Amino acid sequence: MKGFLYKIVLFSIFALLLLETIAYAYRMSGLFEHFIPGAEVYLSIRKSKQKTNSNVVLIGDSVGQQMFSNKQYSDKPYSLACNQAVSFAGYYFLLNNFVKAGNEVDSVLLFCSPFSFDNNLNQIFTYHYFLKPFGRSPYKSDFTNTVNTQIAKLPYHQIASSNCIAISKWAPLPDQLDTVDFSFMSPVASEYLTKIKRLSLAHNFKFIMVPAPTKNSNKKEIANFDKKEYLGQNYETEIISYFDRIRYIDDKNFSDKIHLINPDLHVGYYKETYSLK
Amino acid sequence: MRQILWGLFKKIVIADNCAFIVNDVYYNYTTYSGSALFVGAIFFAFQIYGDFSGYSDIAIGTSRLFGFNLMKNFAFPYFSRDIAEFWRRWHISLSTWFRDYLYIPLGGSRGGNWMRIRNTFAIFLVSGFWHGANWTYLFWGFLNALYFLPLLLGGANRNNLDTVAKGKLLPSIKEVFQMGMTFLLTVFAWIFFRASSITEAITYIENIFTASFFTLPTNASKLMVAQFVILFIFVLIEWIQRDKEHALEIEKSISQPFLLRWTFYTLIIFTMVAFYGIPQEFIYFQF
Repeated sequence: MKGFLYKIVLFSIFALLLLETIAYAYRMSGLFEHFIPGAEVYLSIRKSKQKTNSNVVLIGDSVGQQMFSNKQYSDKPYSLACNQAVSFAGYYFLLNNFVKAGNEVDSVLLFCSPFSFDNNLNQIFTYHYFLKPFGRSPYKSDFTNTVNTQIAKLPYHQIASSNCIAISKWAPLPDQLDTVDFSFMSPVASEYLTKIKRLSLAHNFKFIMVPAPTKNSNKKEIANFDKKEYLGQNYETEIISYFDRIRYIDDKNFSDKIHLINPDLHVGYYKETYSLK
Repeated sequence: MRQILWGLFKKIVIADNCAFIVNDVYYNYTTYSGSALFVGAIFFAFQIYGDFSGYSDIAIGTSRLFGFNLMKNFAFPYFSRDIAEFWRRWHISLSTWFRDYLYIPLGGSRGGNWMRIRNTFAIFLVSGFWHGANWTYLFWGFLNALYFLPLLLGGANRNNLDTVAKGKLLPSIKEVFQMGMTFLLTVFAWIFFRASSITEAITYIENIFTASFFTLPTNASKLMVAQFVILFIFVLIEWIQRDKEHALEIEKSISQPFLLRWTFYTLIIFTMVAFYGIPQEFIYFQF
């Protein structure tokens, strides 16, 4: 019995070390990205680090992804849109990568649904979509206190940066849903919108917030959003303009609360309005 | 412990990943191409094998940890050269039970060909019914009994009692053909087992044999390619170990030092970490 236990302990140490090494090599190869949830996030990260000829970049959520797929390598716009689950922190990191890669940016379009602002890194997919891809260097040093606090609430957040966890489909479910005290703009969204705006000023590019087509039936809910949550912020002008330009369309165009059944029908409007032709 | 590890591998990597593709194919069987349906049928054969033999390995291994020796339940059945051999290697505990409590009490093989045929059909129909009160299971049992018929009539049902290509690395061309045919026959029968009705199974089969059989599967994906690679490695390991109690029974020897064995076990664990499928309940929990 003693010998058996001794062998088990020894094998566990051996296996853990070897597993982490193999997982590191596998992670570096990028192959894992095809087999875990959030493949589009890894694609956007890879694209964000490339030097391109494009000076119009689009970041944003899955509606942005539906209309301007990040799988396509178009110059106008160069799409880094992926999923709202990465939060505005994720959008900022992608944009920051793109700027750091030496790209000369003229304008940045932040394309999102009005319901994407409420991500406070408190969602079921936060572990997969945010913590695994961004919970490591170089992004970690750019986490605000709010982000650190929110991450600390996720179970097993300490092991998220381990290679074995990063390459696996596994993610824990939150113990309980985080309570929120905002109407639509989460603290995380607000802090990183501020950072995006600062980045735009530092690098002298236009920052435009583009509203996704929205259901007619959501008009009332959006009208009740608490404006105090953005008034006085450095991105106030952009967000006021964002709400002014929301296009409300018939509910029959949507497959759920925000996603479009036929996104291609609406691409022309955005290309025309935001000079993306 | 090794048997538990191999059982877990079969369940969470082989069965659960195959299940993901199989469920999708059976859900969309009216729209998918013949090739996609064929792949779905093949994957179901591996799903049910990985699921049930994995479950058995976990149970046998766990029991051994507590000092109990349970009987072997699967003996690499997809390396069978005929259907009789397949049934000697698949769900051995149930086959043994049917033999002892149904086949032999009914007269077994003592009354000549007619009685053997009658008794074989009886145990397969009961076996089908044992899986559930559905015509699909009954037909699956009937089909397997039908496969047995030529062997019984030709007195060839006990031709292949030994492990295929024993002591050799590779099988002969004849053995490859025999194993391939037996596998395809079981795959065909599994279609009835998996379908929710006889009509669904027949439509499924009809849709396989269309011109789209020769096209790329409609549902081809990176996951499917990865699963094919994993299945290939899985079959290879099982082939090499086919005369052992289970596929991870690796003897301690100078040619297989502990570092090599441990690395191999760790690679199995890595595959489980990296490629585990969406957890599914064990299929046999419903029976």
